[in-house]
Amino acid sequence: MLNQLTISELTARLVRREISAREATQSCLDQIDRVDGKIHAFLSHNNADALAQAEAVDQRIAAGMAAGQPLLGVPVAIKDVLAVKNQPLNCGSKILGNFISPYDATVIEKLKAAGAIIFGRLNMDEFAMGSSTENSAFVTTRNPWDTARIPGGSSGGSAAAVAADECIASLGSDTGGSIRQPAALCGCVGFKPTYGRISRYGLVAFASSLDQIGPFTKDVRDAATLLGVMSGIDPRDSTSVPEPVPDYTAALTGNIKGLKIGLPKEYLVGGLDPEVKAAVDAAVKKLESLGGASGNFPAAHGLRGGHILYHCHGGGVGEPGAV
Amino acid sequence: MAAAEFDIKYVAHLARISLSPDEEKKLGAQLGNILGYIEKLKELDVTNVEPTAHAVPMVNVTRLDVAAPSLSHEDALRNAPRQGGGLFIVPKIVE
Repeated sequence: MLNQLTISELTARLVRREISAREATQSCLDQIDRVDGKIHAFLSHNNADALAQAEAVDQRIAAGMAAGQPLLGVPVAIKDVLAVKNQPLNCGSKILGNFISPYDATVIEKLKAAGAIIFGRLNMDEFAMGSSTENSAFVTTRNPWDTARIPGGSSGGSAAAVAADECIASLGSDTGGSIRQPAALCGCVGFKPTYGRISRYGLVAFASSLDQIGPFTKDVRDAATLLGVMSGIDPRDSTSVPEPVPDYTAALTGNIKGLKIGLPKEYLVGGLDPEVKAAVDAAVKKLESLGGASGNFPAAHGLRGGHILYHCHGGGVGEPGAV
Repeated sequence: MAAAEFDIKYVAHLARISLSPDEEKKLGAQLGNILGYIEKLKELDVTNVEPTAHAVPMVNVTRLDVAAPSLSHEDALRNAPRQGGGLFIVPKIVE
């Protein structure tokens, strides 16, 4: 089914005119109808607008005008913390009422220029203050793998939507783990780009010296594609850095000989769930068998790092738990 | 961890949020506990740690003082719960 494709697979088929952008978008919308009643990843989504964007893509393809767009026709859903022009912007909260964003975030402008179909407002902990998406003012998103479990947070909706194939990819934001942790809990790819790599213009701030926007995808290649589209200095964000943007997908050679893998020893201690430890150990062994070399290194200031992190956040909401 | 001294009534007033006595009790305890965590941070030895002023090595990021297109007045006011005379109207908070 088309909603199960990756960015690479979808764009290849679209360019070869094997499928239409409208069919691909409709496939995602159908999946939302089928499963979101149980998963609650989406706070809202506008089907008519998504399909109109898809049809515009199909017209450009038919007119031969769609060359070289890396996200051509790809339905990307958006965490409710990012400004998308004429779409609601609520940050998972009731405080902002019926706020409709009058402008696009820089990353949204870049995704649109790359041909993506921007749709949906994905559930999150209110103003990104949480790690489970249980602090949304509206609904709790469920983990698609087991709906009795949390998807993680604060980008829980973003992770769940990708894991449940309700979209091809999604955007989230990460201040102290809010992409990485839900991606891990929902079994999809997610990472936090280095601070300054991606413009924060249009991202509702949580901790401005820590926030970054990042992708949720079904594979690493897609994440590299999205990183390439979103990266770059932006005069509207004075904390974005003037580093050149390489072709991140070119690094995906499959060869990791000589790659050094650091394991922060303070995190691999008592209290770590045995199943989690086993999974980490298995991953390390696999990487070593492929040519990587692992070693322990001390995380700065050890476990106290968890407390420091919590206070950099500004305390968050509710009881601080173990980080 | 010990809950720090915390005047929940004062903070709620500053935030212009009205709380029931139950909410005052619960939130006061939770916020006090969070502040109590500061004590844990004091256990760190940071004698040899350089203070981090900024996450990236950039200073004085400015642009030319030149007017450029931006949000129209109309777009900027579109979400205002109350507006008048081309301005946002907000509740009075200072006597």
